[in-house]
Amino acid sequence: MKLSEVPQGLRVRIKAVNIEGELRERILGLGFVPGCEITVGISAPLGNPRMYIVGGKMITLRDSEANMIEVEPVGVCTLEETAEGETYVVESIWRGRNFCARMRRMGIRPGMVLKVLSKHPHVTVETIEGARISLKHGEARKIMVSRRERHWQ
Amino acid sequence: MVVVVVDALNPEQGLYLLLQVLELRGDVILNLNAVDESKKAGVNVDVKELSKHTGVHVVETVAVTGEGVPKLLDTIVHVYETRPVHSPVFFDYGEKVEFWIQKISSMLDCSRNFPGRWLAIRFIEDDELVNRVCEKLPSIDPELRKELSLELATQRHKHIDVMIREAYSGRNTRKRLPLDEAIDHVLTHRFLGIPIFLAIIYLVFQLTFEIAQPLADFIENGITHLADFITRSLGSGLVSSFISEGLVEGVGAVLVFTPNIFLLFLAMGILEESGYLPRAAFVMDRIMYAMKLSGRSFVSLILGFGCNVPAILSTRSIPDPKERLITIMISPFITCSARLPVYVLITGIFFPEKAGTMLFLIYTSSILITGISALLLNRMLFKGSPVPLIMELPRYRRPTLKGLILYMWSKGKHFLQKAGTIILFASMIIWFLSTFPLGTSMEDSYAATLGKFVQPLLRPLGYDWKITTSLIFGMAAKEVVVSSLANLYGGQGKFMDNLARELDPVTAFSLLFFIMAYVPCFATLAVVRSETGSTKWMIFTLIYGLAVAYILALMVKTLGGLLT
Repeated sequence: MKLSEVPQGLRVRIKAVNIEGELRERILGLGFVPGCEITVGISAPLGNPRMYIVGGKMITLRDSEANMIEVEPVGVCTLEETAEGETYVVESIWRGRNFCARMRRMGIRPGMVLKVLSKHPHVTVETIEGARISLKHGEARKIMVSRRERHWQ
Repeated sequence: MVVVVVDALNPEQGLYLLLQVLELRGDVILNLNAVDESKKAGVNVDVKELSKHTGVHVVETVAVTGEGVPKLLDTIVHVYETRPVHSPVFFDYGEKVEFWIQKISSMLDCSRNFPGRWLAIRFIEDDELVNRVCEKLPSIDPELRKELSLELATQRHKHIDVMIREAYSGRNTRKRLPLDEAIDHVLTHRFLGIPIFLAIIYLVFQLTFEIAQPLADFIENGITHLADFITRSLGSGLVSSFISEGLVEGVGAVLVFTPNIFLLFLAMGILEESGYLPRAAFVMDRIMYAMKLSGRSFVSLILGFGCNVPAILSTRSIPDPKERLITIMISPFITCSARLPVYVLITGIFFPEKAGTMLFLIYTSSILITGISALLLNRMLFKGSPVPLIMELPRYRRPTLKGLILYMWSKGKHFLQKAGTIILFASMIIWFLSTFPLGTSMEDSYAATLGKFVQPLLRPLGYDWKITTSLIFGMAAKEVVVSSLANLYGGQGKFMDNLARELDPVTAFSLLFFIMAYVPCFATLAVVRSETGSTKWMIFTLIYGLAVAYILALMVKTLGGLLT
């Protein structure tokens, strides 16, 4: 996943820095080093640049640079990458106001707990209230979840 | 000797720099600054442990209060005198990297006296400098170089992690101060961020005008009295006229604006010390990006509100040559403090009710012109790609009185120095040109001849020969426009009434725009020439500025004429 695509508030681990030239040394020196964890902070008005918290410092990067940094979410994955039969907490839903609104109407919102029943042909999840929701794979890729088994009764 | 200053609360980037410096030399001091803030956050730093790991002296300071600074000075003297004989602590960068460092340093042929290990590391990291100091460079596979440089950075960060783990306790880098986060949420808000930025700048100009006015009036009275006193005691001879009209009133007309300028810098100081200015660059970056510039040039341009000369000098920190050149060319459009006296004078005479608003208007248009020029120059000169913005946003701090006064004085004294030198000199020349040939009236003086000669060019804008002459003199320094207007329109005290009688508000308003954009002062032109290294760019700046000023003033005049 590209750093510029990670929704606000998530913690990610850096996998690769694909920036060339003198900018590369600067980015590495600031702590954008493979293996390091950083947090995605607020974005400027108009969505770009964004702020990243690296080792306690706030560093701004434009999306044009951030999209050359490969990252993976820490403790978070997309609903698509989950295992059948396990339970997860929805961390965030991203990309687009309309999509978020549609998910909310279907009953999926950040903070809720859900159990993945099956992943084929569609991703079917069960909410804590027992309601079953079926999602397309593309939709499941836009929902970030983390594992938190203890909440499930 | 090198002193590496590191933020005590978030030392990662600072320690990274320290490791890089230690690759080069051993006589280094590590200065942990702002320890008061780290203590307040409940963070404990074991200085001895840090010193053990890095092999250098570690001194804690609080720069804003001066705490620990004497100790730092003592340590500097101590390290200088003892000159550490032991070589710096060796940081192992892993088997593979060390193997290549060894190999490369044996292949590098360098005439200058640099440590081989350091040269090899700089070579791996593709530093331009190595190319300059070494005659013979080994060839290296770019993929291997990339891999090694990545490994270097990773290893340095690993060493730093170890240091911090052992020397620090009670630190949580994931959580920011809740108050900081709340302030940031508002100041960089998706919808409110830009309006808040504009509102803050508006407030700054309102305050600059409103608070300074009584003080300015006070100084003005003093100068009028002084001039009167000199005329009365010396009679009405040539000497008396020289001193009272030439020197006292000429320089005085400019000195009146000291309160405005110092208050502007006070406000700028508050914005900078509190940590808002980098946020402003963050908020405005998307707009700078549209002009193919970055927050870096934004910071240079912000300096331009004080004086264009340091703004142009500060562009040295912009790494991209294209961005640097464009920033230099557009800097003169940023309204420097020298133009403020002229604005304040004209808005005060013609728009006394709305002076603050008018100032805001002229400042925003100056920013707008700067932006449009940037875009235009980018299109004209290069099909340039935008430059990256990598910037650290500091923690919010309460500005200290001491810091503010220092800031205000170091920026504002420039104005007073100028009043004593360039403006004094220009006032003398203006007095001379408007008094001689002797025995003639002002209408036939040399100044009038000069003004009348150029005036036909400015006739479409509705400027008479007195304004034309003032504008010509203003090329020396923009404040001089004020003193020459004072001189040509009948001296301190009377000239404002005369101006109000002879100019209509629309022409006055267009004059504001003309003064904003036309020729930057000689000092700025000289710096443009020295920084770009070519006379061509200086002449370009000159002609471009005049053209923009002319078009702008004509537009204002025509539109204003239609509206009123």
